Amino acid sequence: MRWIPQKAVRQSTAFIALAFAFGMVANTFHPKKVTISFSRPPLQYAADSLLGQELSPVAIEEPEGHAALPDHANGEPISVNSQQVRNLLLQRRAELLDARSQDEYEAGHLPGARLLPVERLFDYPKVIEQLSRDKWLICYCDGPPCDLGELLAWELLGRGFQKIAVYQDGLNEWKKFYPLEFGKEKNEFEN
Amino acid sequence: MKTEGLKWLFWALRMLIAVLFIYSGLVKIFNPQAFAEQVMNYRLLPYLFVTLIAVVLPWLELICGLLLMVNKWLHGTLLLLVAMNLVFLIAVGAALIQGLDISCGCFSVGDEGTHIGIKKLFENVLLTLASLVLYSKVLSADTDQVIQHCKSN
Repeated sequence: MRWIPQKAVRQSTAFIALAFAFGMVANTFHPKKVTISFSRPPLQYAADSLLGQELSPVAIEEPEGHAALPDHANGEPISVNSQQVRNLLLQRRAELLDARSQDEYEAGHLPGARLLPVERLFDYPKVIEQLSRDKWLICYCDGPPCDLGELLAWELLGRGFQKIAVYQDGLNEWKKFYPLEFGKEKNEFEN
Repeated sequence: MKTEGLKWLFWALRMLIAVLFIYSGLVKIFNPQAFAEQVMNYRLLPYLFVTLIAVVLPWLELICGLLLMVNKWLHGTLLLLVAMNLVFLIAVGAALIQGLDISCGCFSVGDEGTHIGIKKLFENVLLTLASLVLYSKVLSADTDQVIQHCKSN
């Protein structure tokens, strides 16, 4: 008995070709279509005007060279830079979420950041429940090539949160200009 | 009597796998973006392959499930089902070894999905074995036909 007869190979090749054709056509017209490319499309930098939409126009200045996004709740997280993170924190309009492991968090994190390791989200249901839906949730990790912050952002979007931002430059960039906090979370959240 | 029982058993197994794959394929076809995220979470493949899998695999599952249900072109269908189940098994095993706590992306997309663990691995082993049993039955039916043909000549 041949385990992979020619007939099986021929048929399965035809089915794969059929699935490929159906998949490609369906994806073209799908409202939730997947963009086929070699690398994930980069997130767009947010204009400060978008971040400050509930603030007075004086609070955050209009940046140069940043086009305003049409709609922040279009199912994608936005990317913010160090200055934007700082501004939002000073105005208490954002919460920081550290997507790394507990050990990495305790070795140094952005001031006031909550620990929410993206690889162990299932262990943090209550933290996720307690997250604000009014403030911007800024996800971060160490910075390139770390993409845990972005992964966390997509996870939270999938859970229905709307105001999600990613601080892609991450902790490595932040600590060049601003201080870090060390040790365990100050306000221990119940897991 | 025994043969009759076996026949029903194979029929039930065939229907079970068919329904599972049709359901699994349809769920993913409705939300390819969420499925792509789940494939990405396994951290096994580069982005291009993740997107291609998210687009093609659900349709392959649906086609195989439908063909298995209507009992047509079983050689190719079951070969693909065995191959897919093996790949799923390896992916879940690799994720467990890496210590990833991720949603399986097997029969649902999004948060409601079961997250991977030993139970999921065991389910995948059972599915792989079930499709292997069906595949070997189809192959042995071929051999029986050849023997019958030789005897009649």
